[in-house]
Amino acid sequence: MKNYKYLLFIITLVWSCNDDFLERYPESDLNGETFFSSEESMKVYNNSIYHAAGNAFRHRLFLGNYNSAFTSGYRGIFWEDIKSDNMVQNNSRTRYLEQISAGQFETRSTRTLHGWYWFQLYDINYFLENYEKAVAVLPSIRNQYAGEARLFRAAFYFDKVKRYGDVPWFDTTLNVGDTELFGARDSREMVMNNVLADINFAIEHLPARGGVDVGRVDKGVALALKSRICLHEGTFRKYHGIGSDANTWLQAAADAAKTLIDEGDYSLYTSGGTDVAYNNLFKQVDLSGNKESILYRKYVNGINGHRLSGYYRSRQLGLTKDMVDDYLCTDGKPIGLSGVFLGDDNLANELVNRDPRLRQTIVFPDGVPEAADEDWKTTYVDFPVGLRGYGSTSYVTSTGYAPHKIFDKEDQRKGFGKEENDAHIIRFGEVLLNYAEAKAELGTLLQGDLDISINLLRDRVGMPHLNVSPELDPKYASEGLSPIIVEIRRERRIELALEGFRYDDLMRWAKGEYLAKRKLGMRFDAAVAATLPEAEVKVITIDGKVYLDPYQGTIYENRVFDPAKHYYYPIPTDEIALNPALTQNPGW
Amino acid sequence: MKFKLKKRGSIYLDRLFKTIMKTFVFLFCTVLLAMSPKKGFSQDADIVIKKVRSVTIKQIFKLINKQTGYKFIYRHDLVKNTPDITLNKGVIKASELLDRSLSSTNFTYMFTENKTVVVTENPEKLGKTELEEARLNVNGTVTDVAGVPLPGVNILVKGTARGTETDFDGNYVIKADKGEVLVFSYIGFKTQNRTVNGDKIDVVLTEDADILNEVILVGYGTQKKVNLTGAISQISAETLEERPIVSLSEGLQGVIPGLNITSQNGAPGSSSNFNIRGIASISGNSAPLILVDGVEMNPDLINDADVKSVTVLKDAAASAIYGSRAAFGVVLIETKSGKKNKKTTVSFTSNTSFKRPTRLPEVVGSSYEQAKLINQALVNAGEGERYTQEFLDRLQAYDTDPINNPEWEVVGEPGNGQFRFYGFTDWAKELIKDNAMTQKYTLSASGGGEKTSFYASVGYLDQGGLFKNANDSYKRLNTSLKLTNQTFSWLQTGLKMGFNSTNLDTPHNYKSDETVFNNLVFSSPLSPVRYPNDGSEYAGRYFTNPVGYQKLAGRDESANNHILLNIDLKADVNEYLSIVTNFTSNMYRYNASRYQKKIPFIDFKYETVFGQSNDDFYQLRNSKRNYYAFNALTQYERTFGKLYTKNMVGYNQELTDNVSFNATRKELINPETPGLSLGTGEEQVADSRYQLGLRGAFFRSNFIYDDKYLLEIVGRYDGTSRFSEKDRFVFSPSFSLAWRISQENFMESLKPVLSELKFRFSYGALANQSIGSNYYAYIPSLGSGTSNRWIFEDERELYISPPNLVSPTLTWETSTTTNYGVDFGLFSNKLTGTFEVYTRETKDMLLPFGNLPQTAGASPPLVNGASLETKGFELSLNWKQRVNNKLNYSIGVNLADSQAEITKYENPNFALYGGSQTASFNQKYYEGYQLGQIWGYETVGVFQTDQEAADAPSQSYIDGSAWVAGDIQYADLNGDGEINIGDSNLENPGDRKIIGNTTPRYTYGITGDISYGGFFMNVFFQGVGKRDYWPTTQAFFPYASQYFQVQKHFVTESWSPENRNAYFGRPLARNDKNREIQSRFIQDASYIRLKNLTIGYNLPQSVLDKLKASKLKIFLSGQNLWEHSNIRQPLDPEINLGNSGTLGYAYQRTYSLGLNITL
Repeated sequence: MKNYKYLLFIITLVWSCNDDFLERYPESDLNGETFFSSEESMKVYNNSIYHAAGNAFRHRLFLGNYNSAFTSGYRGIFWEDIKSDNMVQNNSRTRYLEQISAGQFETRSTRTLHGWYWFQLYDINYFLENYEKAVAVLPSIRNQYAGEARLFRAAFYFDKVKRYGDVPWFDTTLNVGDTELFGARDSREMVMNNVLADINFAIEHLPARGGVDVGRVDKGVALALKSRICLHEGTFRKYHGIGSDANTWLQAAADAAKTLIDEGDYSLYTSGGTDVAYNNLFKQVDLSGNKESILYRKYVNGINGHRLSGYYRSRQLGLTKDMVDDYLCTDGKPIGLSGVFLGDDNLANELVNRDPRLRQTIVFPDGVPEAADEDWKTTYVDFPVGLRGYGSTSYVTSTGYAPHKIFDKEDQRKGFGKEENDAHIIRFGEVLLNYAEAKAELGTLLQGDLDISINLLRDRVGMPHLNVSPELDPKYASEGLSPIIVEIRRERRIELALEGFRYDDLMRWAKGEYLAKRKLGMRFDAAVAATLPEAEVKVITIDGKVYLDPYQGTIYENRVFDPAKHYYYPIPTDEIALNPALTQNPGW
Repeated sequence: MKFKLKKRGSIYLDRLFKTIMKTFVFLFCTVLLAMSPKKGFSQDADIVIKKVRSVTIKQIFKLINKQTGYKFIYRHDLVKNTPDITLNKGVIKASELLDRSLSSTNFTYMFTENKTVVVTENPEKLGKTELEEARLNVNGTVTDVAGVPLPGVNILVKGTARGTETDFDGNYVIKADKGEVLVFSYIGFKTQNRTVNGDKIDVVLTEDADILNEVILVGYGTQKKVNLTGAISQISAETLEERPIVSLSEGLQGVIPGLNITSQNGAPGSSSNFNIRGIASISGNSAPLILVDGVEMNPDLINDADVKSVTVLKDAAASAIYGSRAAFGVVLIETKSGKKNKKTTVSFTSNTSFKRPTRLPEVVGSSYEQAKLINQALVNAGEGERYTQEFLDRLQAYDTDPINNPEWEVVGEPGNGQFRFYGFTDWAKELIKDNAMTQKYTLSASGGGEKTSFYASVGYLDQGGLFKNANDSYKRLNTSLKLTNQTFSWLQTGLKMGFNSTNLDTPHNYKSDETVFNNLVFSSPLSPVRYPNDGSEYAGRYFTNPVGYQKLAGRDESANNHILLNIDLKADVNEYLSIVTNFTSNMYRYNASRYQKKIPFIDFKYETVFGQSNDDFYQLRNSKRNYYAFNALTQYERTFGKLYTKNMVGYNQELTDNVSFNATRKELINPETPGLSLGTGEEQVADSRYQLGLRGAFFRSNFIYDDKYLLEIVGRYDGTSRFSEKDRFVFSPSFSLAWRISQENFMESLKPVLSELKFRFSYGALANQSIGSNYYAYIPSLGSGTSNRWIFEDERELYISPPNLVSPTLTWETSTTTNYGVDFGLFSNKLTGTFEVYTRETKDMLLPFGNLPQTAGASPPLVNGASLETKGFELSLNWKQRVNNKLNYSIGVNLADSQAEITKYENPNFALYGGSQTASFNQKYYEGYQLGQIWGYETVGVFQTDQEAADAPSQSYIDGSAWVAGDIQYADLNGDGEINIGDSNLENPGDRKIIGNTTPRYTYGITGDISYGGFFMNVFFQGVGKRDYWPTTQAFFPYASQYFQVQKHFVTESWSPENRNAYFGRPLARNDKNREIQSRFIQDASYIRLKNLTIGYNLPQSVLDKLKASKLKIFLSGQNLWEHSNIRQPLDPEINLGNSGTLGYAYQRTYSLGLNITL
């Protein structure tokens, strides 16, 4: 009896008389105070910045193919051209792009509308606040990882400025109670100066190509990104008449591009020759060794496989007539001037004697580059147009110009979520275009500049060289632009077709009104219609010519572009409700 | 990082409380020590008497106890009238002192081995032979006033352990001495004492006018109902018996006012949410503490047949004793135990039930109609037609004449051509069974002897699901053993052991956001199930469709094994003081496997495709959770004249330790033998671990004066490991008062009518630390993962991510409840009732900071940042009557209501969120917001002409496309000529306003029981009086997608020039513009549902005798048999939605046959 009572006592004592019982700490978690201690710690931390950049839904700065099978069918770099005057696709999944294209979108309230996501910035700023705690690491190594982080911050803010203009600048993480969170937007000038500082820091401290692990950003990425950012900012300021130092930015763009060209780490991809090299560049399962690739998004079946080609074929895509008309003829002249153009009254004629990149971008009646593969033609694109499948509208093109650039049959056959072709983020071809354009806008373009840039792109596909003083294309006669600017812009549109550049380009050139033009398909005059009796299509007659009119009867038929409003996206109403100091963009 | 949050309490106060707690623990330990004797065991121990004085015999016992540790056991009443004894100063032997003290009395004493002195009446006064002769076989019948025999009446010889009970006919036999007193007790009847003076005693028990004498479980003890001061409801197991429920939570729905139980869906093994008195905290956790025999546990783990009673502690005063875990009320579940001195009975219950879905979507039964309607809806939306005229013709041909027209055909070569299907697939028929069977068995035995009693049971449940092509089932095995042993006269030892095992086994769900039931709507009837039997190699192969997935899927299995061990010791130190300690160990082992098997489907072009199964994997998950709890409490109970008092101090400590692990392997080699090592693809492993410690000390004091004035005071001091040291502890006080006005003399005249009337008031504060799985919320830790988004080479890269924002001052949220209650009984308590009104204020709610803009770039940290006030009432009324010796009936009604309002929230600009589209609306809180409010547009109606649409205020903000006849017209509430959301804040909400509230109001239950002879019938209705619901599901709105099934209501209720009064707008596929959140489509989700109807028969004694059984009952029962609700198809009024607003597993009507036999 006595023993029981003692036992009871002991149990009570043991259980209750220790002070540590309520001291419980996470056993496997890392502490921010001590974490940054080695190069490896900085590297794995920065992996989270890449991880955030990889969230294509939140952050579009380095948009690739989408890393989930289903979503890759309507989000990702390829679909972005639907926003522009390049491509047509009337499908509810890509409605968000079509609405922007037609000026048919509203402020809505969604807090993250049109990319109002700021998560990656927090990741970046947290690093920049803490990485110097790794005192044992050489300053040059520390700066290398700070350069990596600042490159992403530059890209992050560049993306925000493109969308919204003025945005608040933060270079520290903020917590509850910090009044900065409720401050006003900072000026575009201020933010872009900071962006420039960030990217310059990255250029200074990042190693050159080969000096970092495969797939990480290096000095080349920083330079190329700088040329992109500065060209955007320079032309935007020039054509929108804001800021006084447009030329400084244009010069910086040209210099960055020139440095990259001169360093010689990159070159155009030409394997397979002029007939296929351009097309093949976009069907690479692994871009790591590709000399043209400066930055790419990697996809691996089983980890982040996508379904781009699988959805590509079923989305009723089509290039616009306007886009196809911009392809030069083989004599190096636009269709309005060329002597070899056969006219556009039917496809068979229209596609003859054109820039070889056209055949490498859209499906021709006589087949695709894999001409021997009849199966491809009939199975994946019911050519030419509007032929309804039985019980399905899939597998047809909406304009007659069915694209196949970036489509890869082999990848497609791997199945749902198993496609693994890599996606270009920055390729050398763009840098060449950036260089030529910056020089031309500065008015310092020489034939030698063209020969080390655009003419290399022309050589790849076997097109005649561009001359510094070309003949003015009558199509652009009323634009008030110099002929060389017209040609450089054309080159950019053709070379970078379906790579998501066009919308941003129109914005910085202040050519938003192009978006208001009706998006037409191929000619569909009676003679053509007679050859395609089963086609169920909508047509429109303009100047006596009949065209496919894919958006007829939809809201995208009524196209609006209000220059006072549509060059910027609206700030989400709900965010302004939280922080009234943000204020809405004009017109919204 | 800066924080400007209010800091609570001071460190000195904390230290003070810590000191108090430590002192308490020390004292507690010392009390236990003090119980031990200072000297060895000896009858000859010396007793020191320090001065001359006159004492009572009880004081002598105490004196000896104090100096030797001997405990005395004696009948209190025997020593009451003994004369005082005068003690002289000096030393005397214990035995001598006792001899002298007892010499003048009729008593003798005996030292026993366990240091106890037993004092009894001197048997020498009666000769031994006399004693035996005097013992009679007393027998008789116990009936009620109407002469109805009462079976199971307890009969006990007063002051002894001898007892029996009446048989089914009310007869009993018991051995008793002349002059002994028999005590007849029976629940609901007044206890009677009868002195034995012959061998025949018939007893007529009268119904207890004082039904409130019922004993109710309260925290760490019991209390007579009449003495309750807090808001407490209790039901007994009878409420649950005979119902074909598969879990306790299913049985408790609607039974107790204020206890809200909502089931997630009708899937086998699906869990339910418990809630007491509505939403108490918007931090996501308003779950009450659920204790099974004092141990926190998932109520669905146990066998409902083992349950004896369920008690709900509703106000803070009642639940305060449980402290931090009980901020949202407490549900106490007591399981059955054996009784001492009761013959062993064995009982077997079996129940077999069949289940059918309550509501399934009604579809248009023709592919031709379907295709036409889809085309129309697409064209209306400006999208291309999905079906060509040629195809429509073939559909029509087959539809009108299926004999002479093909159901399918192949264009081109089979194997290389195009397969075409013209038939109609009824997915409900293909996917869902008409009936699912559930079987339930319980075998239990209980009984007890002089010292030990036991209850043992084994239960088995096998719940089949409704899937047609593959088994989906839930199985549960429960075994439990409860032993109570009177180890010593002063010590009772209890042991409870249990093993509960559940197993859920279903086909793998390939689209995690879609359920099989969803596919009833989200599939087109124009898709065939299998390739027809054309003799080719393709015959019988599945096309990519839900049937194929269901039939050929891998399996997802999960098993929960739970072992419970509970030991408790109850020591009676003396007649006033008792000590209880118990230790519980709960071990949970969860093992699950998921197998996404690769399924080779065929497509219309004869290619093998794998659909969603392409990315195959096999996953194993397990977790080990151990929970230990220790409680120690001591209670002092005493009556001083008219004052009764009960005081308790106690200590509670809990530790949860969880370790979990999962591993996945992709690309399996052989689909028939999934295994982590049998794959070629990526491997993923992850683990996690947490620990949670809780500790508290508490006290409770009850004072009752003259049976009229009642006071209870409770305090509890709690600590948790979830918060940092300086914010870790909290003290929660509460008190409650009651006045039994009916006991007052001035109420005497009303007694015939008003038999009982009690007013109650309580006020209490409780603290809550339950913030879900956030075990270390105050510590900023870096995260980690492997990226599947941005990869550098061929494998996932490790990344370390920044810590989330953290508030370093996190501390307890508190909820304060003020409760007013009245209990009454009328007409000799035939009618009893309770009415409660309460206000509950939850302060410093732990929830994500409400005013963090996106620009912060991080998820809002948890802060103590909001307050909420809940107001409500509960009413319960019961009428019970025995009409005559055969007919009994009772009717019970309960009604509860509550509504919560935000009183503080970090939203200074009164920003409103969302309201943008249909699928999900993300409402933002603000001060004055009533929980559940729906913001939306007000609907004017449907445009009848294009002109009307053109003339109306612009709706282009909602959708830029043309608004035409058949579209919805939204009201321009602010008259600015435009429909929009303004500034999306309270000041300028644009054209939105509050259009409804999803909070279920006026929840009620109605029970009726009637018995006539052996027949009985129980009915139970349950319902919600008022509730708005915004249908988020695409299954509700017509033509949300061209891939969906067209339901009948799409046709009958969509606008067309011929159907201008239609409910919905014109058919419009893939366009949400007519589906903005708006007043027109708010559903009235109020309902009344016949939850249970049971008809049964108790076999008469004559038959039972032949069967040698004491009870045999057969019954037919139905669950969810009928409902009435205004909610539209295909929604169930209990709102049953899966993820992303899809249709969930249907609720079911259950028909069952049951048998209960007791031997």
